[in-house]
Amino acid sequence: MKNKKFLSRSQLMFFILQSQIGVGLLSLPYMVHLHAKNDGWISVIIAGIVVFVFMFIMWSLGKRFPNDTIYEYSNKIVGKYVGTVISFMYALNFFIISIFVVTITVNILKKWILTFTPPYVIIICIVGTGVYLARENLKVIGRFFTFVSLLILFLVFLELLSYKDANYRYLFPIGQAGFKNIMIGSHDSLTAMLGFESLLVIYPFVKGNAKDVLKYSTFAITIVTVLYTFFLITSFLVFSPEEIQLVSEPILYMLKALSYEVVERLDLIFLSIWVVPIITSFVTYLHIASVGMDKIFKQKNHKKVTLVLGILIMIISVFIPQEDKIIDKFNLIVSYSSYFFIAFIPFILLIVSIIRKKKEQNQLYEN
Amino acid sequence: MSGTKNNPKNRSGSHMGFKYISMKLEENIDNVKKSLLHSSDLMVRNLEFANKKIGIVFIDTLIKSEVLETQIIQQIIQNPKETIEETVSIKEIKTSSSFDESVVALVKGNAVIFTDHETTAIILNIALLESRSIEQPDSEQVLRGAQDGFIESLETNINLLRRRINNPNLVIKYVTLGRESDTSLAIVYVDSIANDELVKEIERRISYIDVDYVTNVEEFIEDNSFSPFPQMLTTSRPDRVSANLMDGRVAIITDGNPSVLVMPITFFSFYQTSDDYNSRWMMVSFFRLMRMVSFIISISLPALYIALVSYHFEIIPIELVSNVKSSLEYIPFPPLIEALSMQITLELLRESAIRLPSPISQTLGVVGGLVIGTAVVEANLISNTMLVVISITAISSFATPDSEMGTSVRLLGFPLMFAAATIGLIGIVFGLMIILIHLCKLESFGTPYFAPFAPFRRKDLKDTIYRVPMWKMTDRPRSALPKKLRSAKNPRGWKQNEE
Repeated sequence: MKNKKFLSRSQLMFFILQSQIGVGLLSLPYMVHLHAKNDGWISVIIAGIVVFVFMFIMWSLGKRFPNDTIYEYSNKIVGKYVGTVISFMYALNFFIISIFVVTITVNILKKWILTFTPPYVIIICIVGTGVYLARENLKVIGRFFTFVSLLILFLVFLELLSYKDANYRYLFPIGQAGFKNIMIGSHDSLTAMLGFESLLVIYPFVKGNAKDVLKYSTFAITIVTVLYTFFLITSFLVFSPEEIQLVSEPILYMLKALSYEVVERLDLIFLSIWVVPIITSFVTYLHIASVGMDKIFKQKNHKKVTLVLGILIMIISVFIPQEDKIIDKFNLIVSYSSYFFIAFIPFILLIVSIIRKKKEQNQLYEN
Repeated sequence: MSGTKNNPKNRSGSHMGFKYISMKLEENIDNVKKSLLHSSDLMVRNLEFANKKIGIVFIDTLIKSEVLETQIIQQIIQNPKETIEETVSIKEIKTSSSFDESVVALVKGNAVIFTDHETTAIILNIALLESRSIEQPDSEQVLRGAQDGFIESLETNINLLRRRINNPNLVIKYVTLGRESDTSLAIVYVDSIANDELVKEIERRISYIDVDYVTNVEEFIEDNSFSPFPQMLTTSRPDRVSANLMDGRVAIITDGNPSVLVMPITFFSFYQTSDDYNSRWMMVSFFRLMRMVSFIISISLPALYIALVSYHFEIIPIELVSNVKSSLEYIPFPPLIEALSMQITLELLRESAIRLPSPISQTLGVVGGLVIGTAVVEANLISNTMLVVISITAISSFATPDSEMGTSVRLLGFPLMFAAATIGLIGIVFGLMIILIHLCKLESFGTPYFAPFAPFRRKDLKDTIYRVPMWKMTDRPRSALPKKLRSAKNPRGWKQNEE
């Protein structure tokens, strides 16, 4: 148990931040706009609040078992057999989401930059880099995630450039889409905000008490919500409601129109840099999946497991055809099944642990 | 030190077979001659002292003849006292009853006196230490500040450090390494600042070095040998070493090597120079930024150019496209081949010029740089723009203050070029990401290599990509985990106390 506290408090914040921000954002304005129209930014804020509620449930669970990941305390709460099943489902879920991230990334990259590159080349690059990082412990991952968060500032700066075409009247009247549509939009935004469920696994590795964890996780979620709202509002300001229905990745499209003396096609630069936050989400899922598989199959450390999972992801992703229909289906499955994992199971586990009064004494505060 | 494995007393001389000093003088001298395989420079001077025969044995090429003549032989002949120790005027005298120790002392430049009917030998240190004078090291020149540099002599080097740090806490620990060479090493640190765990770890690693001959211990004790980045600072500047010692780092000086190793180190130490602390902070900060720019350029510029011209022509603005296009028009090769051949030519030029005497290397510069440069463009082998790109890359890589780091960075450009040629900008991003992950992983003696950026330590930024004024640097960097963090109180207190 000693020296397990890998992440500092601010690293926890950046970890959740980088896990959340990912490939989903690029098409988010378009997806949200389908239902919520130009009130999509309200949907994002609502989604942020919902994320906070879910995160709070996970945190309450983690607080009861400050030295365990979900793979361990699920056994303690509901017994060995059900617990193992739950652990396995989680690990499998994280594994499937990592495949999903790879697939959708390949799709976007092929659409925008690497039209003629065979998908397997991109898959090898993504998975190779991901495995190289995910096989390390959280200390290294935390350092990397913190450092690359600098890039997000640069990306925000790029987006700011497109404000010269902004028209604030596109946002009004506020609330025109109606409550129901805004809530449907929230569902779409929530899918793009997935990643905070990594808290279920990384909680015991954070230096600091439960209060700190809650504080810094909330910071992370707030930053992500604000950032997403900013990106959404930007694209709603730049594109008219009619235009936005035509462009599936508005955040990239609006940069495409910009032209400067020294550089053009900022969208390509944006997308190239955006690969980094995408990889970080992938690394998070791969890491927590392999930590889970490692616990279930009782391996010494997760390095080998990560490699095996990486190879599996590579093979499976190559066989998923790059067709919009299939990817949409995949998206649908992932977005609905994740409610089961981010809300339902944690909630049930929390209730059961409260009823059964399962709780662990906290011993690890000497340092 | 662990166990007796590295104890030089156990090690050397074990093959000689004579353990004790015999009662007979002749037998001893014969044994010495046998032990040294009748070496031609082994000399014996027979004298008489207090009515006993004595033999002074020494290796002629290793001792100060003048001292031997005036302080030993002359004293023994002209004013003998009770014992030999009282007679000779030498500051370092030992007696030993071990024959092996006497022989080892001989090859270290001592004179050994055997006396008839006595089983102890007297060892007198009169070693001749030939060394060059102290000069400014060629590879680390500065504009302002100290002009001295380390030399090949361990004693002189320690003297240079001791003179800078007049502190009883400056610890010098001698270690002897090398089964056959008995090379001396000094581990130097300031006990009140350096972390005990760190010193212990370094000593532990050194204790495992079991080789016949050692000149540089770097690769024996570094954390990751399979990394392109140097994990120890190699410097020949005493001022730099003493500043690092004051930050709680540890230095290893090897006898016979003017390069001193400093550890643990972070990536950004390689972008600091001694000049930085002798100039004003604004200028220094600007040059620090320049060096960071040089790092980015030398690692990624050729790759970026390849990616742009072979994949993303649309990023280049329209006015520039025609320029680039016209220079590329008659070039038969893909950009990757162009860049590779130019980079390799450049590396060849550098490698061939580096060891040549300077008049010839100047000729080489003219032939290589000017003649090849213009000729390849006129022959339409390499495009103009590529030549510009490669030249800028080369200049940037030489702007790195540490030549080892500069070379590593330039070499890292090669895989990036391949990545760029395969999948364009995305390839560069993946390549840079892998390098960054590697940097985050790397540790130097238990401290993160890429600190203060990963992990991020805001307070340590003050001396990395910029430098704040000296009086603001009141804390030592945390990377070496010093015992004492505070290094200054309020050096500009006069300002607040002004009336």
